[in-house]
Parts: sequence; structure tokens; C-alpha cells
Amino acid sequence: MSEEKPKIGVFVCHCGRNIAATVDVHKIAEHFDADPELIAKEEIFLCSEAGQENIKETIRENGLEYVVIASCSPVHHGDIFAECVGEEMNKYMWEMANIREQCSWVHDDMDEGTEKAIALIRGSINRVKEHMPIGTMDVPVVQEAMVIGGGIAGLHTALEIADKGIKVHLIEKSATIGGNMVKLDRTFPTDDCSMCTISPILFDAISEENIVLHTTSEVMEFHGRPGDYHAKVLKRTRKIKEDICTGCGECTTVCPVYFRIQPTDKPSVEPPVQDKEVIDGFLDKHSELRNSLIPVLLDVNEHYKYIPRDVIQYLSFKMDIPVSKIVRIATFYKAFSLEPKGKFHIKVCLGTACYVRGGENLHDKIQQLIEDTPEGMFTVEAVNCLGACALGPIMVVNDEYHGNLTLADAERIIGDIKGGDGE
Amino acid sequence: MNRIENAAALEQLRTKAQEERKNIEVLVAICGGTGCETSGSTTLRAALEAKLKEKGLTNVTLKRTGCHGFCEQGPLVHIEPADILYTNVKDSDVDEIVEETLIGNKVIDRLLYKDPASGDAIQGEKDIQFYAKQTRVILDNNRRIDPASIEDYIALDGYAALAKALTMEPSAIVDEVSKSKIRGRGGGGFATGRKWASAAKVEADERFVICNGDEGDPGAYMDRSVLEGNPHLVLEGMILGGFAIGATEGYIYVRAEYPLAVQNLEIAIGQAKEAGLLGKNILGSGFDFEIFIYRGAGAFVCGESSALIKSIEGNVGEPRAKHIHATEAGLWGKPTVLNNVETWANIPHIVGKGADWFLGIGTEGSKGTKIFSLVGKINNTGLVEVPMGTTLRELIFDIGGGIPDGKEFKAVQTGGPSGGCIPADKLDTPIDFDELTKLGSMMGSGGMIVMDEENCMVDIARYYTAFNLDESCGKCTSCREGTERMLDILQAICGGEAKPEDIDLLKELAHVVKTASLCGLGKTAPNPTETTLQYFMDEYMEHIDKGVCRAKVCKALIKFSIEDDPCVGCGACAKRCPVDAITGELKKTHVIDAEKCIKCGACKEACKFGAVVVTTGGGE
Repeated sequence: MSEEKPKIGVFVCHCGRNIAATVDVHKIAEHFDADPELIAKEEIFLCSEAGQENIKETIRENGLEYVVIASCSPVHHGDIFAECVGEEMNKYMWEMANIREQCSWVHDDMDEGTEKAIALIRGSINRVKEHMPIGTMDVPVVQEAMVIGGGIAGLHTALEIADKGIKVHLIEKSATIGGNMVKLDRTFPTDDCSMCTISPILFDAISEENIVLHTTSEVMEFHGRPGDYHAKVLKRTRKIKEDICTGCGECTTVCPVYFRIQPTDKPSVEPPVQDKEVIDGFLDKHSELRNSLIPVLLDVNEHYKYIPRDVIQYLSFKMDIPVSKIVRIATFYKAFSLEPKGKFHIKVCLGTACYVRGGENLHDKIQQLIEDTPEGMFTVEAVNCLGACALGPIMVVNDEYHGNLTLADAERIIGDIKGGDGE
Repeated sequence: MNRIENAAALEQLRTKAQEERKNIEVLVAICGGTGCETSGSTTLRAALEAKLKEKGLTNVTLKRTGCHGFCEQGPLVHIEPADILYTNVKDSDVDEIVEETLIGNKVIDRLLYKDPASGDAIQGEKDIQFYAKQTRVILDNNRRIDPASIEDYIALDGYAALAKALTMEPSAIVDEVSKSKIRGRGGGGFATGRKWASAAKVEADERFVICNGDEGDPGAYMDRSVLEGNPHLVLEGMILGGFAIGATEGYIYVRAEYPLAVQNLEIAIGQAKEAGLLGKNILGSGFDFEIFIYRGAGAFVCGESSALIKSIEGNVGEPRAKHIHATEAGLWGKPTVLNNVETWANIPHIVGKGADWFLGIGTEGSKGTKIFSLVGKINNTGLVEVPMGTTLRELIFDIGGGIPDGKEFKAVQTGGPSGGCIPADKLDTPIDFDELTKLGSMMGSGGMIVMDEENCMVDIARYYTAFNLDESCGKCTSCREGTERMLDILQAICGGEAKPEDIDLLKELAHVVKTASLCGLGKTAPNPTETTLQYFMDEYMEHIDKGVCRAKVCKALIKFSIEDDPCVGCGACAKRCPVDAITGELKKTHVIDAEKCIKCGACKEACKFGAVVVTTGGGE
């Protein structure tokens, strides 16, 4: 080798200040130009006509074999440079180093940026040496995608791809889509209702024409290359005809596996409870019923004006019903309260018959009247129909009915109670 | 009471009870329904009892009965055989009643019912329009029966239908009920006979009957009055139904808000057990049947059959899809017939008098009578029972006596939160399951709430939507979230903040809630909104375009002020104002500070001179 001529051209772009602001382009060009194997040049805009001309001229004059262009992303200007290089040599004999999106835009330190750009370019130099001149041919491509996992991330991905008009196979191991999110009540940090977030997405996914859902399925084998992947999917039978099923849920209520999930932390000793005889009395009273939970809770609530915590635990033990279920019942039905009610429990009827006769004004008035009373004295509750509609508007104070009330009547009744109780 | 061993013994007992009752010279019946008790009938009864004792009137029998239906006029005292009805009786009237009427045989005019149109005092029930125009198959005995007396019930042919049924083939009873074409009184109007027949034919080791007394529709209290006033009628219907379909247990699901109904039912069940009309080997027939009371716990949705069944099973009351009917797999997964209180109450009449008798009442598609609770802005509020086919106009103006204070009728709301508002030009519609459905409303359980010009229809739609949102169990997203979004829009309209295009969105939401919800609650929740949109669109548009609420209800669109002329400067309004918004010197016109005013209406109620006026819209 008498004379070592540079055979790789490195072109570094400033992209105005886009790259040059965080990467020292001049230093990079000098760095690579010092290598005898390389010839490096810099340009304000490589994509401009002048920049392209510079590339072509340099290739021609130096008989370059390879080219590395350090600028933006291949998606952005890859085609322009391929065409530019292709005019002088085989159009696959070049590489692109993305020192804009992957470097200058994500860094703000000049030294670091420059160092990383050098590393990126060096990588491209090493890769371009492996290139061989090739031609082009047309290959059919399967425009389909596969997404594995039908949780919130998988669903989202599948929907995004489907939205671009590409058919998606969504593979889910379990019988239902939705993943872990459907098992949550609320999500952090916004405290949003989990189902409210995911259910429209679930619905979109099942109604999207471009998504083919494969539940109870697993990917067993996978190979191929872009445009020609092959996957072998094991689709397990669900023993339910999907096209007939309406999702009514009746089958789940009789499934023995579903019901086998029972809490196992039942205490071995009877938990202590206030007024044990009273509670046992309630249990006895309703023992002839096949399920006496609600009747017993009604009695408890009537007795204490609410359902105390220890009673819930005691009932859970005695009736062999999980605490969670008792609490669910106690919060679903309006007759129950988990907080103690005031000494005077006022129910103001807002049933229609009372409403059209001014029940709402009455309710507002009573709220005002009790504003200055001590806590624990009054509880005011608006209820839907007390069933004495002919006498509306109505309120009930501790089971005593007051009918055909005017605002003045309410003032008098509440005033009497306040006066009487104060002494 | 001794156990009644067979049908013959029942007839002996009946003859004896009837003889005893013939010997009663004067019967004073005091209504003990919740309405009259609220108006003071409990202390009235005690006072009357004491007075009778004091005077030593042994020929007078005092009876506490169930609801007579004329609740507006309560407490009611009915004296037989003279047929004198005293209304609005106070404790202080007791002396006069005893001295004048019971001893002196004189009618006290002052206590009689005054016809609202003519002002005439009317003595007997039969001459009062409210009663005269009704056909009281179910309710009539309420004023003759002490709910705590099984003998009273037996004397009035009670349990005769059961005795007859026990000699029949069960399938023949089902056929008779089918033949009568009775439709469920709970609202949906499903053919009762078909329900029974399908439950009877399913193979099962156990079957159940349920009485749905979870009367949650606001403005309706028919079932309460039947359960409170005539509990044995319902029990008889259920025992009979149990025998017909081969059930061994029955459940009565009663609202927790109805303590008197629970109490009277407990007494009745105890008596029926003692008499051998419940329990083993009823009337010697070999048929065993038990009835349990199950108190509701305050969830409106439990009026829906599948939610009610879940509730009896000890779960939260969430409805399920009805691909499989309760008649095949209902309570505890067994065939179950669930009927409304009023339906069960009709059964003894149908079996006793025959299906042909029942077919003679009503219209082609709806047979028999129906009880309505006629409430709201109407003169004669109370319970009325009329044959199907009676027009709304007859019900509201003839029986109900029209609108009080000369106000104008605007709409009648039927079917509760699932029903709709029917406008004045549809008043000649006959009451019939199918006719009401055609108008976008429904029969419902029988609440009939009359509204006048002072009720804002947008506000009514808002009210029902808020009700349905509150009572939605939350299982279906469309109902849980959809009703909330509908309420947002309705609130914006009431607040004068809506745009015309919101109406389209409201309609669309209503459609989605209706279509996508599982149970009756969600499927019908948009009805009040849709019917008011259909019949009262002009009111909606006034709210939106002009900021006018013609009924002067929507607080954001109204203004309280005091008129110069009528105001005498007495200061009564200022005293009552909770926020001190009214100022003025004595004997000079007072002024309301619009900034401070919370529009509670206390001043308007306090003013004796009509000086406080309410205006709406920007003008005037």
C-alpha cells in the first residue's frame, strides 16, 4: 500500500442551531478528518441543495466507497440522502447517524453532546464498512401485527395500530381481556374509578374491526423477519360458544371454582362484642329464615341507630359471612349506617308527592334550623317517599310523623325540640 | 283461637262471626292507616274510648280499621248503620260526637265533608263523589275490618276462596287465574296466569311464592294500605297461589319504612298459624305452607324482581339479566312466582267469584280494577280504586275533585320514576296498561301525581333523574353514568346555563340509558325526561332561550320582590327571613336585597297581604 487514500466520507450537519447548539460540529469534523481512513466535512444544512452538492462532489473527487451522514433521523431525511448518494454510487453504501433526535435534542451539555455524537458516528462508520452493494426487489409484506397480552397496555397498543388501518391479532392467555386493571377499584394518583377508565377501551377493542381477539390463547413459536413473521398460537377451547354468549354472567354464579374463593382468615375464637345477649337474641329471632343477615342487621341498626364495628365482626364469626360482605350490604342499603345518628333523626320526604308540594324548601329550611345545634343532636336525611303521600310535605322525627307541614310548622317543631333538650 | 280443622268448621266459624256482628247496634270505625294516624287518629281513638266508657254506651262498638283512602280528610270517623262520615276530626270533637250523634242521633254538619264545588255538607260515603265514582273491590273491606282481627276477615267471606281452592285441582286454579286475564299490578303488566303456569310446570323439589311489597315509587302507597288494612287478604292470595303452583314457602318483602304493615302482617300470620290456615295440613287438605316476612332495607331497586330475590337471599340487591326467568330459577335457584301486593289481593276475589266476574270489569286488554294513589296538587288526595278503562279526566276531576285554589291542571305523572308526565290534552285517555305505554308513560304500581301551573316540568324531569341516579345500583355503566350526565344537562337548563344543542345530547343520552341498561330501573329511567321533552318542549326552550321558568320554580331564574301597594310594612317577612335580606321601616314598604336572597320562599309564606311576588326572566 503506497498511498492510503481516505475511502469513507463523513458529513456532519449543523442543522442550523438544532444540532450545533449542543454539539460542537466543527470539533467533530476535525476529529474524524484527522483519521487517514476518513474524510470529514461539515455543513450548515446538509439537506440543502448546496449541502447535497458538497456530498456528491466529495464522493466524486475522492472516489469514496462508503458514506456516513450525521444529521437527523432516517425517517426525516433518509430518502433525500439515499437519492443524493445514489447518484454517485450504490445507494446502499451509506449509513445515517442520528445526532439530532437522539443527541442534540435530548442533551443540553455541549461536551457530553459532542462526545455522544462522536460515539454515534463511530458506530455508523464501523457498520457501514460491512455494507455491500446490493440491488432492490419487491417482496410481499403481510400488513398485520400481533400484540401479546390483553391488559391495558396491550389493548392500547392494539387499538393504536388498528387505528392506522392495520389488522391486529391480540393474544390473551386468560379468558377475558382487561388484565389487572379490571380487578382494581381505584387507580393512583387520580383516584379514578378503574372500570370507568378501562371499560370504554374494552368496548372499543371488541368492536374494532381490525382487531382479532384470541383469548385463552398463548404464543408457542415465533420466527421471521419484518413483513414476514410467523407465529404459532395455541388457542384453548373455552367450551362456550362465543357467538351465542351474551355475557349475562349467569354461568359464573354457579361455577364451583368461582365460589371456592373464600377468605380463610376466620378467627378461631369468638370476638368480643357489646350486649352479646341482645345480638344473640336477634340471631335467634330470625333463625328460621334461610338467610337472616339483612333482618339481623336491620334489628342491630334499629337498636343502636347504627351498626357498630364490633357487632360486624361478631356477626361475621357467628354467621360465617366475611366482614367484607357484611360491610358491602351495610353500605348498599340505605337503612343502614356505619356512623352513629343524631339523638333526633329527622327524615324529610322528597318523594314526588311531597316534592311538588314544596318538600325541598322544607328540607333546606330544616338544614338551616339545625345549623347551630351541637353535633350528635340532629341528623337530617332526605328520603325518597315515606308512603304517606296524601299529607305531603312530610317529615318524620324519630318515627313520629308530621304531615302537611309549612315552613313555620317546621320552625316550631325544631324550636320545641331545641328548647326541650336544652334544659 | 282454636285450630280450624276443615272447610265445614270454617263455615261454622263464619256464621258465628256474622251473627255476632249483626248484634252490633252502632259501629264507629276510626281509620288507623298511617295517613290518619299522622293526623292524630291514635289519640282520638283513646279519647273516644274513654268517653264511651264514661257515658256507659255499651251499644256502641269502636273499631280501628285500615285505611279508608280519603287521607286528605283524615282522621276519618265512620258511623254505621247511619252512614255518617266525619272528616278532619279533632280530639276536641269527641264530646260533641258522643253527646250529639251517638246519644242524640243528630248529625253534626260542621264535621261532614264539604263538596269543594258547591260547598254543601254531605253526610254519607255513598253521596261523596270521591267514593261514589269508585269500584272498590280490594279497598272496600278496609273500613269494615280491624286488621288485627281474623274473625272480622272471616265474617266478610275471608278464606272462603282458599277453602274452595283446596278442593280443586291445582292446575284448575292456574287455569282460572289465566282465564281472568289479570295482569301484574306492580307496573309491568305481565300476565299473572302465564307466570303461574310456567312456574308450575318446571320440575323442582321446591317452589316459592313472593309478595312484592317493596313499594318504592315516590307518591305511591296503595300496597301499604292493603297490607296495613287487610293483611289476611294478601295472605289468602299467597296461600292459594302456593297451593296452585305447588310451593311450600312464601315470602312477603315489605319496605322498612312501613312498620305498621310489618306489625299487622305479623299479627295476621300468627293468627293464621293458630287457626291452621298456615302451617301443616291446612284445613285438613294435606297442604303445608309457611309465610315469612322479609323487611326491605331501603333500596329502591329491590322493587325489581331479580334484585328483590337477591336481597332475600342475603345479598346486595343488584338485578340480573333475565335470560332465565324467576319462574324457572328464582329464589335459591328454584321456580318462584313473584307478584305485587295488589295482584295477590285480587286472587281470592278471582278464585272466589270466578274468572268471568273479573272479566266483566275493565277494558279488552286490562281487566279488573286498579288502585291509584291520587296525590299532589289535587283536592281529594287519597287512594282510589277504579275499573280499568276509567279516563284520567274522570279520575282527576270527578273523583279527585280537580285542582285546588282554582289553579290550572298541567300534567299527571304516572308510573313513578319509570313513568312519564301526561299533559292536559291526553286526559281522555282510558287507564289501561297499553294505552299509558303508548303515551310514553306506564301504569306503574299506581302512583298518580297531579301537577298544576306552579310545577315546572323541567324541574320535574330533573327531580326524577336525580332520583334514579340516587337509586341506581351502579351495576350498568349506562345507568350509573348516563343518568348523571343527563342530570348535568337538566341542572344546566334549570340554572339557565344550557344551550339549545344540549337538548339533542339529552335525547341521545336518554336513548343510550334506555337501550344499554339491564333492568327495569335503567330501561325506564329516561321516561320522565323523554315525556316532558315530548309534551313540554316549549317550557324547556323558554328556560334555554329566554331564561324564563313560567312555573317560577327554578331558583336561578326567579326573583323575589315586594310590591309597594299591598305591603303594609308589618315586618313579618323580615322576621322570617333566614338571611336578613329584607329591610324596611315599620309601616313602610320593605325591600328584598336580591344579592342576599336565597329564594327560600319563607317571606312569601309569611306575608298575609300577598305583597311578596315572584317574577321570572330578565324583563318586567
